Amino acid sequence: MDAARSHERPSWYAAVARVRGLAALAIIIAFLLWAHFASGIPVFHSDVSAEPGWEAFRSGYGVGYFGEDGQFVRAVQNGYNLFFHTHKYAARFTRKSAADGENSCASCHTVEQLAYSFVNSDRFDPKLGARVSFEDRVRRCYAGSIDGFVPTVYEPAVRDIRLLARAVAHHLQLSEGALSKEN
Amino acid sequence: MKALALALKSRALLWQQQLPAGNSHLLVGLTLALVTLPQAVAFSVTLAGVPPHFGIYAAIWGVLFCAMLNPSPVFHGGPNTAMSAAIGVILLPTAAPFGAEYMGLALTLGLMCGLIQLLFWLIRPLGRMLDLISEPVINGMICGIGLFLIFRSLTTFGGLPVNTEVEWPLWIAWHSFLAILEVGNLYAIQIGLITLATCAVLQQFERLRNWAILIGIAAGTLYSQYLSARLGLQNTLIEQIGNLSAIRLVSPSVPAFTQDALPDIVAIVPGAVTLALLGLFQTVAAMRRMSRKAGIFTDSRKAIFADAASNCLLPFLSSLPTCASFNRMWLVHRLGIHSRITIAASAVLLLLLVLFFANAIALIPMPAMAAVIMLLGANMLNWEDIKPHLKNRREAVVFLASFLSVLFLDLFSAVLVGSFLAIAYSKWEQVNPNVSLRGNVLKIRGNIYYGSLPAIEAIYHDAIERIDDLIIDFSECFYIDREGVRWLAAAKAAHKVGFVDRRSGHDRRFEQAAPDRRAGEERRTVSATAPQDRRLPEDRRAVRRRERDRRRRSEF
Amino acid sequence: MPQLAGRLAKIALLLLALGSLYAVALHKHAQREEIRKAAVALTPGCTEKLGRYGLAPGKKYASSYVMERTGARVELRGYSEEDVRAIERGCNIIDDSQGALATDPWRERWNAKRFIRGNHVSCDHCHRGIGDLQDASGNRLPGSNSLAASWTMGDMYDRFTGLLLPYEMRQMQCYINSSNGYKPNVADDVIRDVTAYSRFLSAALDLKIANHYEEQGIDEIPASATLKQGDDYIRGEVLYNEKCQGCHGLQGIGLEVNGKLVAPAVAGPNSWNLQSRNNFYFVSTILAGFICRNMPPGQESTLQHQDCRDIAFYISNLPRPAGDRQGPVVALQQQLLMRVLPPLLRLTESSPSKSAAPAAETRAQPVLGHAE
Repeated sequence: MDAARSHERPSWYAAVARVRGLAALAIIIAFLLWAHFASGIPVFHSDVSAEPGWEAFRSGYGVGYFGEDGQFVRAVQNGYNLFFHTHKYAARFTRKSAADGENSCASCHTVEQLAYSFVNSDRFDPKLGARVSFEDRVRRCYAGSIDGFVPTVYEPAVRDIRLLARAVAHHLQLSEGALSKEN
Repeated sequence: MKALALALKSRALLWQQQLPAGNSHLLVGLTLALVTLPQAVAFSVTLAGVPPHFGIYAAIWGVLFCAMLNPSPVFHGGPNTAMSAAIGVILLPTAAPFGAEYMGLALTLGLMCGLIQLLFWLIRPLGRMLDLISEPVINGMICGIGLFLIFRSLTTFGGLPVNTEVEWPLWIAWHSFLAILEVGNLYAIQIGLITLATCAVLQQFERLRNWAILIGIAAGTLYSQYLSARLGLQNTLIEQIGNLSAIRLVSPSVPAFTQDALPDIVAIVPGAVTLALLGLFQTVAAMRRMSRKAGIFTDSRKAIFADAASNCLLPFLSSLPTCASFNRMWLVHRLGIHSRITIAASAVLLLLLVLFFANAIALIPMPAMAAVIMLLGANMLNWEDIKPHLKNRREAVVFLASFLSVLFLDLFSAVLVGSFLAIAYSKWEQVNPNVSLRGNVLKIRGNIYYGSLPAIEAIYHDAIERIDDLIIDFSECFYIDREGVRWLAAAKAAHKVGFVDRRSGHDRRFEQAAPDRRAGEERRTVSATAPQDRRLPEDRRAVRRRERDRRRRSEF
Repeated sequence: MPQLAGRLAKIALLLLALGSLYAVALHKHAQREEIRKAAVALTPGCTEKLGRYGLAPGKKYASSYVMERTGARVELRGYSEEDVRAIERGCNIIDDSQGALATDPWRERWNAKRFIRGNHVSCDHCHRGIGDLQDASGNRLPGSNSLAASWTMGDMYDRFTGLLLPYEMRQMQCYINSSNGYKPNVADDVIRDVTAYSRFLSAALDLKIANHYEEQGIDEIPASATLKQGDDYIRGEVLYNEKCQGCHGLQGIGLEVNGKLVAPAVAGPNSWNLQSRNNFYFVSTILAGFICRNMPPGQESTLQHQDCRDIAFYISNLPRPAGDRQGPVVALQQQLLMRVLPPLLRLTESSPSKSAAPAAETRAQPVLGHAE
């Protein structure tokens, strides 16, 4: 301990400690404000953001059947975002960025193909020797086709693709096992 | 102004004396950072169900903010197992894990937790109540949480989806275990077992203990990369941490607070209370334990403020809420650090590590993380900590009740049960003072207040029937409340009882306890009017009042 | 070096334990794979149903049901042998969850029984007609809890859980609530096979994704469908004693004759729990709707709407197990109520003035069973 310290604490000792604490708090709050307003980094909000093309898709594919807005519709919108802008909305599961070509599901598939794939899922795949569910198919795509990682099964990055497929399948009035024109 | 400068200088000198030498300062910070990183990632991904950057930011900014706001040199904040597990449990019924909605709610939960903790700081008695959480309660909860962690990691260990509704942990744990054996992803199980075996084996060796987790994770990651190279990731379907390159210096965020989210927010308010309590308990208990080991003291109210302020601000930086971490504070103590600067440095080093090694961290497989969590959970079941509690029946009961209630009830109820039992026991002791009757002297050792009066009165009335000249001896009575005084006055008026207090008029502080009393002294009949024992009523009351004021802190 | 020896021994033990766990996992996985490849012995009900829809391995599948009713041959993707086996197993699970007709319930039903508490409940008690109830002319009955329609309408927002509920999760809820059980992991074959069966049914019936079908769910009976004279517990008790007790037993505990189940429990330890949607206090319309739609068997649609609500109310007041999110205190309370109240009540109510139960022997022929 500091030998120069006298038996009694100086009266301003507590005041200095408090000032220090408040100064630390002020620095932290200033940092926070900078991060939010001055740093230029996009702030995360938990709402689904609207990408261009969503309204056209919505009316074109009759998503309004499920309501003007709602939990399901938002999930379909998120699915739309994931399908067309995978690198942005599933950034954790793909190494591709905006600069790369083939950086989204839409680079290789159409939503119609997605819907047909959904109603034909959960079937035996002779190459893999097992029945493969839709979720597993999507996960394999994330891992293999867009040079990425494997998401968890009920994570929105997979679930919302399934819901998008459902919405499109409804629009196309597909039944279970429906074959596309090519097959 | 000069005095202020002097104060700052002396403080700086103090810091310098406490710091280890320059090199080891950085080395220690690096060690801390390396130990915290896997924990941060594992807690956020496996337990809380949020993407890894939440845990990483908690380990960076959470630790830094706590180091700045909490004056205690033994404190290490950051992501915490119990809090992360609680977040996962609370939010699972509200939204799909890892999704945007879930993240928003997690931030709101953290913010509400911080605000409730702020209440504990503002209202002093609330903060003081935290000191009533005794060690058996905390240890019981920690052991229960350790088991809980093992159960919760089972599905991730086996590469299986987690069940979204949370029921009795033990049933689910058993069926999850069976599910792993029957339908689990074999590659995930292999990776998990390799990590678990490596960590467990290395932990047996004293030197490698700090590095066991890192090496285990490295082993698991290497094996997972080997599998991916041989079979392809789309065939092994091993989940990994994922692309972290989006992590920057900060990631500002806004907690979910919209009309749409309101039903969910209201539903998680009780969870926020649980989280706040969990955080504060752990902070206060850890600080108490580590401060005692280090031989220092910091007012827990300051720690509460640091926690509360951090948790109010961290949700705006995409971070999990933080509190004290027992295992990291223990490590800090063993490394001989008592310096906030080192701890702050470890946060900065972690930020640099993450920014530069994001690509390597991305490859870490989730089953390895689950194995790490299981190991941390198993380490929380520390026999050395449990043994002392089992020696004393009261502590054993409190410990077991806390432990079992974590497993059979939810965390909130566990906290309540443990606290209730601890308080009940302490009250029970006070409510049953030691009252002995020898000859005609009724000696009361303990407090005379509304709680203990019934027990005292029973013996008193029994005695007064048989004995004519009863004397009540207050010599070891430290607190008498107004109801006690009224009773004594009524007793004196109704029967011929005498009062005696053998303490001298001096303040008890400078006397040893009853130095003159010999074994046979109590058996002597003491007359109420014996001159050496006569006190003026005012003096006696003054003595009692002094005693009461002195003991006020430890009594109710 | 005793310390080192001790350490090595610990390490060896640890590695042995982990290694043996892995060996067990390998063995169980191999077992499962073997069961997936084994031929499936269908229950009589499933033989009839799947035969009617023409399930067979092939490159294409065309439903004979659709051909009969519309004259059009709709070609869908065919099923491989593995798929056919999965569908058959799923049908078996729905028809005979308890495995009473199986020689080895573990192998043939994925031991679905371990996820169901008690030995009464089977999926097709509520999802009648093995998930596809039709009248004599092959019309699907509205409100019949069709599994095919559940698949097409799956993954929607569920207000009871407040989540978008994937189809597999809804199945699991059945295990939690309607069967009052533990739950399998979502990746378990039990769930996958039942999903496969539901999907096959919707293909066989040519149902379109997300279209609304009358046979989905239960046609509920709200108070507005009655004369609004109030739901009377006592009226319900009298009706139950008169019309239901013969099959469902005293106080709803179910009835077994000669080891065969006549009718499942609607109360007591073998029945659904407090958190199920069947519970009148939770949702007052579902159980009433089920009763009016399906009960008594052979005399459907003879009960008035108010009768059904009264009976549902009465049944919901009989003691039953606690839901698993209600905690151990409520669970204990319900266990005590279930064990203590029925015998006590039977004792006090065995006075001759009360209406006695109709003799159970007159209904020896199992009403529910697998000879439909």
